[in-house]
Amino acid sequence: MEFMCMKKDLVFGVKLASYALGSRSGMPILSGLKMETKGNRLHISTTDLERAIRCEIPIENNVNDETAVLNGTVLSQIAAHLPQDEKITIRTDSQDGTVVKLRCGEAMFDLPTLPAEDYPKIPSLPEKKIAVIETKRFHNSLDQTAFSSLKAAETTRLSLTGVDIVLKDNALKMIATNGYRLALKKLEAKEVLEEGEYLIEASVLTDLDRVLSQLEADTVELYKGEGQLFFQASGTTFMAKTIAEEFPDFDRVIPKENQISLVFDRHALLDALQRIEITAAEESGAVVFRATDEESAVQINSSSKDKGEAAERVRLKKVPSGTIEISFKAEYLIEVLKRMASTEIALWLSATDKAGLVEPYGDKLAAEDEGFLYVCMPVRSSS
Amino acid sequence: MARIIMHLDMDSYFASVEQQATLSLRGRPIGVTGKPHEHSIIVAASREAKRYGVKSGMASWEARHLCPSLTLVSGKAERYIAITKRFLSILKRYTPLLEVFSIDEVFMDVTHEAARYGGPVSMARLIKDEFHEALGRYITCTIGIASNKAFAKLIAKRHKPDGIGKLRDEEIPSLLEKIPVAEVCGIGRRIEMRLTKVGIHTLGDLGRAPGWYLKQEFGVYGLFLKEIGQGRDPTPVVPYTTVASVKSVGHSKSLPPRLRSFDLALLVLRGLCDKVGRRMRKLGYVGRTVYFGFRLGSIGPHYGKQITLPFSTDDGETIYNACLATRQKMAIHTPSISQVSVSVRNLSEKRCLPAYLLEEDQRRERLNNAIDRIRDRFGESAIITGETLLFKAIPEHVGGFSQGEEWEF
Repeated sequence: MEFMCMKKDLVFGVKLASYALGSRSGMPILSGLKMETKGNRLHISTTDLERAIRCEIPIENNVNDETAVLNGTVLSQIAAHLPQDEKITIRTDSQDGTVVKLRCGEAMFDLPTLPAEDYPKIPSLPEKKIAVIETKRFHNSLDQTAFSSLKAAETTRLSLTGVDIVLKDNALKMIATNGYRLALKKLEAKEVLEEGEYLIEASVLTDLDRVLSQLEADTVELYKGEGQLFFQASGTTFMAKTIAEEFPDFDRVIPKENQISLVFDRHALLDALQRIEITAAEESGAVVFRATDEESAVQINSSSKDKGEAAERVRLKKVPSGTIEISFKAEYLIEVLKRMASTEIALWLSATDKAGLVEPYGDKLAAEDEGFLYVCMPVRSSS
Repeated sequence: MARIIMHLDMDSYFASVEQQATLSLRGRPIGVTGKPHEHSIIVAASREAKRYGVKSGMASWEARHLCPSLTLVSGKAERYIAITKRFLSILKRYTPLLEVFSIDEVFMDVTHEAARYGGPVSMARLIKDEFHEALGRYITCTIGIASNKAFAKLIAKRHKPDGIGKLRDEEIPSLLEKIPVAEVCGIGRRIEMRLTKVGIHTLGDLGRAPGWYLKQEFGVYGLFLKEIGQGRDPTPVVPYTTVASVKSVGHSKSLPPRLRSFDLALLVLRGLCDKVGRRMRKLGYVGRTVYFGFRLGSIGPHYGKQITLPFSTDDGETIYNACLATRQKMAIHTPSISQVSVSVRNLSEKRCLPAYLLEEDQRRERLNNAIDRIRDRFGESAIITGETLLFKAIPEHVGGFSQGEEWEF
């Protein structure tokens, strides 16, 4: 292997690829970054078997089409600290290909290679394109849903660690839940060529989002693989393994007949909740909402054994149509309010022990909040 | 002022409770087991049985061999807990500094109370008299009195059964030379072996061993050993009232030799998880951390691992699945599992959780509630899981009083 490339190109490629570097102790080869020279292009790929990234950068003076696998972490660190020089040369040093020399200006590295034949085969991009979406919308939708998934190093319920992606009727739905709350976002797609449902781990999608933000592409194309979903933008491919479990029936948990609406100024409610949460009981994190059909305000309280108590009256935009007392885990409401953009939001309720529904409200609905809703279960009776 | 510590130890506790309860068992050698079958383990032997050499921890066939006239009696945990509660309520009137060490052992700091009763020995006699009245003639205890816990326990052991032993501090030095290290509570087989290797056999030897050596070899524990070797034990009596009511809910079960397969162990485990879930629901608790442990061979080592779930649960199946997940972490595939145990820790009250959003969770909760109602009305075995049914179908093989059971008072 011997070629020359621009520093900025290599730094860019290595940084992109590093989002899929593996760290499993059992398979050291996954810590490798695979480099393949093909004519005047260098293909860079990484995988941890859950996800894979493949991107390419332009190169010059390629002597021969060859492959080498280098330690990805080391390469990322080098890429972050290269001297002020424009060009980099990379050359296999030894006869047997076990050392690669990297040179940038006066800096020289001798890097041991990993056995390329051990590197897992990454499935190639399938031919079947199924959808095209705007990256900006995708980013926004992921931000509004992924946080609701189950974040757990150890769980027996894999399906809840994912974000469910449903392609239907020229739209894309993204849904995530941890079993106590659920976020759903419907966004229009540029195109949906084939309908379908794909469940992908939230953290994998978050990495995809990071990759997309580096690419500055307006749209991303989706391809259907076998047990994977592929995303392609600006010549970079991101493969995400789908979770082989069924996502819960989300449609039936969305309350459809909640009559009592509490309409808040989003910022006012968020600020109040962050204050009242301070004295919420450690175990439940619960805050109690009390609303009556006589007043355009809600009384929010919290109390804990050792931290004290808090009470605050938060103004409503209108008098609610019913009287209700209900407790929510403050964190679950704070998290969603932070991710919305509208000035006004509505909390739709029906009964003390039934789910509440959060939606953007009013005419001044922010574009980011379109098609978004959030369901949250109340804390069991605090009596 | 020197402390006055009492160690109260019930004599052949489970066996004497059984003898007190059943006339026909009095004066006869009996062994209390999980179930009165070949492969169960003796958890307590009556003093008549002890004369034949029957000891707790012995397999019942072995005990039968030593004492052919031995009567085996199934242990009844509720009965023993009830008696323990009764005698604790008596002791609480004597001193508030009361530490429940196990179901049949209590430490008391009576430094300030003893004088009021005419000294510790007459105080002990009063306690014994009151026990006699309240619990019956067959349930007796032995009380050891010393200036610290370790030696109160040691001296009680030397005055069993139905005795009172008082150890004055002047007597300690000569006693130290006679007591093998293993007799001290807390010095297990492995520590004993390490001490024996360097020629430390008695407490006296231990007291003379250089402190730096013990510290280097055993860490902070080495300092404790040195103290014990010199007849001191600074450990305080931790009052019973400061012990949290429930810290974990757990069950364990011993498997008879013929049935020590992994599959059976899992079957038994499934049943145990179900029991744990049931008890947690009764208490109104949910827990996040699930511990799964097992023992290999009859005296083999104990392995265990825990897993912390993303959310607390009180569901038997969820607990079981968590156990299976820890099993993968341990990657042990062995045919000779002799005991399985499961416990759920990191408890909180269920009412602090939000209600379930998903239909699958709600359905499971309704199912558990229905099962609980059936069991409340018709008994624990009125409704059981299919797996547990398999396991119940062979009751004559399965015995062993659940030793790992955690008690609440």
